[in-house]
Amino acid sequence: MPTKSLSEGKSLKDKIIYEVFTFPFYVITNPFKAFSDIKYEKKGSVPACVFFMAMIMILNVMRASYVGTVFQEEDPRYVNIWIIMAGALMQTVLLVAANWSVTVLIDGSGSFKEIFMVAMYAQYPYIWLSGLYIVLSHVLSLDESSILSMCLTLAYVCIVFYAFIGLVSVHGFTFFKGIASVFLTAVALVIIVFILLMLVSMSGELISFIGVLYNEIVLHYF
Amino acid sequence: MRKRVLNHMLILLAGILVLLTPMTAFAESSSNYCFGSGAKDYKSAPVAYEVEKVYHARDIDGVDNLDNLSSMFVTDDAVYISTADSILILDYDFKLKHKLSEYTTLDGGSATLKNPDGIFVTDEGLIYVCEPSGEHILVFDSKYKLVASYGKPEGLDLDNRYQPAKIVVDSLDRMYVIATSVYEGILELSSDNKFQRYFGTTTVSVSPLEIFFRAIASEAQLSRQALLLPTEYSSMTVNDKGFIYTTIQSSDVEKPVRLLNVNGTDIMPENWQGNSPEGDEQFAGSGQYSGESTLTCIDCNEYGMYMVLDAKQNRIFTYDDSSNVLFVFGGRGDKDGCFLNPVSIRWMGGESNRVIVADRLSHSLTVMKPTNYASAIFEAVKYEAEGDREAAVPYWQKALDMNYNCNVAKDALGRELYWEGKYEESQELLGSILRTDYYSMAFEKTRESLIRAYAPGVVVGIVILIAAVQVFRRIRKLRKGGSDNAD
Repeated sequence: MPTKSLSEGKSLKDKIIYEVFTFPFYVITNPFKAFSDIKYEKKGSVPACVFFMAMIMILNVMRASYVGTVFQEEDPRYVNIWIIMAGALMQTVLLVAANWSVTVLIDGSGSFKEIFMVAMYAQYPYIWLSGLYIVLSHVLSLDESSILSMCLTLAYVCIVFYAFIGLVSVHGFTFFKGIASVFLTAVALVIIVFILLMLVSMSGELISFIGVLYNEIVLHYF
Repeated sequence: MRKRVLNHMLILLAGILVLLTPMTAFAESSSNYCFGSGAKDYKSAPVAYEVEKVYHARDIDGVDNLDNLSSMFVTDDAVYISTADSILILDYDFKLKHKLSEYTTLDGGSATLKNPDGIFVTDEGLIYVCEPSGEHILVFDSKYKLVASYGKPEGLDLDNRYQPAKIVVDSLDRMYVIATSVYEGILELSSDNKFQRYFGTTTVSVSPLEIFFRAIASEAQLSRQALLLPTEYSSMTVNDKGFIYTTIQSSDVEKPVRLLNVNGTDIMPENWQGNSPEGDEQFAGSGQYSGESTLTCIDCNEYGMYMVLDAKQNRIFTYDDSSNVLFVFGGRGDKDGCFLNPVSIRWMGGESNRVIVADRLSHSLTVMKPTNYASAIFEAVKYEAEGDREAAVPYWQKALDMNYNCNVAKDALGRELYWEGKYEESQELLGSILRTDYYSMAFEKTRESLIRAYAPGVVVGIVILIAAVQVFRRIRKLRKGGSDNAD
């Protein structure tokens, strides 16, 4: 385990290397210990997690536009990078919000910040693997595409694996309570998305109503 | 006073707005476009077909009207056109050869054709004519004398009237008939008018949700719902190998253009992008002309090309035998080259690849000839159909020079470059249209040559590096040892 003195390294460079490389790899190798360190010893840093989030957004865009031609699914000229970035951000934020809103009700002890950090550290292997995906896609041909799909599958399996361990750790759940919280999170997610959609359509109605009102007033009095 | 100023301001504003609005007329646009790499992607293309001449009744001697045009048939030297009261037989210069209107029935009486529809002329010169109102199919010989009249086929049970609309006859004189309100499929009739079977049967696809709602609906509700009927074929044509091309008018079928083999199964291929021929890939979402193409007529030629008529946008889509769109022409409107209500399209025989379009609403026949662009594509497809890919290359190149958006040409040229061993040029062309299967093959070759070129150097370099490091260490050790010795 990395010693505490390292995290309080003298120079900024040491600190960055510790937060971006050393600690996340420690999470990957010792997930149970590391996640409880996050909770009880205030390890890990929110700025690093925000950096990971940005990396994921950028890598998703790069996977759509800089992937090798052999594995290009969509014409890179028509890739909408804002949609991809918003998608990556929204799925994390929504999942964290849904999980937090559920676990608050079923006595999970994790805070919003801790859940967010779990989500980001769980996606740390994904960052490396999708980087690897982009590099390999320029070297491999269609016949070897199984290596690439394995790369992504591994990334998703890692996310599920580490996220589950992390959630159980920061909330102090048992295994079965953890499973239950995952299902409830899915339900909460559906509700949140439904409310968001309703909000969007309602605000559309409201805006068009104001537009009509404005037209009526303008046509009537001017 | 203020009000007057305001009024003037408004008028000025309106004027500026009018001037700023782009003056593009979309209503009568011809359709010159081709499809790009994505489903949402379409690009402008050169004009493929231009009008050679529009024939009205007054332009053809001996013809007093072109009412109720419905079907056409083209042989090597004649054009057969069904109008309200006759079949017009014209030569390729649109001179009337014969007007088939009154005929002697088999029992000696005389009768007139009334709203004939589908026509088919066999190689022996027998003319098959569908007359839906008379509920029969008439067969004339090459002297225009009636030789047979086939009423309702033997062994066919129908709830309503038998109204044959389109007909195709194969080399064994079997008749394939599309009859109005027969939903089971195309009728296959033997040469002596016995019903054999339904050909190319279509199945209704019903979603589980629909089944559920139908199960809980009351009688009154059911009676107000539309019947779930299988799709009706709208036209057909046969190629020289005996395969039947058909179109389905309904827009909610997955594959509206079908190529039926002898068993009646659909063998129409998907193109390399995984699309089936269906007319427009992208369409307006609202308005009278929104939605998928409504395909009402099809014709094929001997090179495996076929064209379908979209009665919604009045466009004609031409495909090659791998279901790639080659070019689109036609359009909705009054001007020459656009149509009001096109009902039938046919290729004229011979080298010129001219097309006749029959327009029912404007009572006219439009003869269109391919431009240089379409001619180049025709030549290229012709050579490819003959198996001569090398001869097709200059024509594809010509088409690509005229239209850099021409994905079919890029695809063909890219694949040909691959077979010629020019892998990098091939990669450039195929990569630009994302044809990944061939691109990957070419990529493997370039990768291999790259490895062959650099691998020995890299390996030797690594060996030298390791050796150098070892030697360096030795020397340092020796020096250290030397200094040790010195001490």
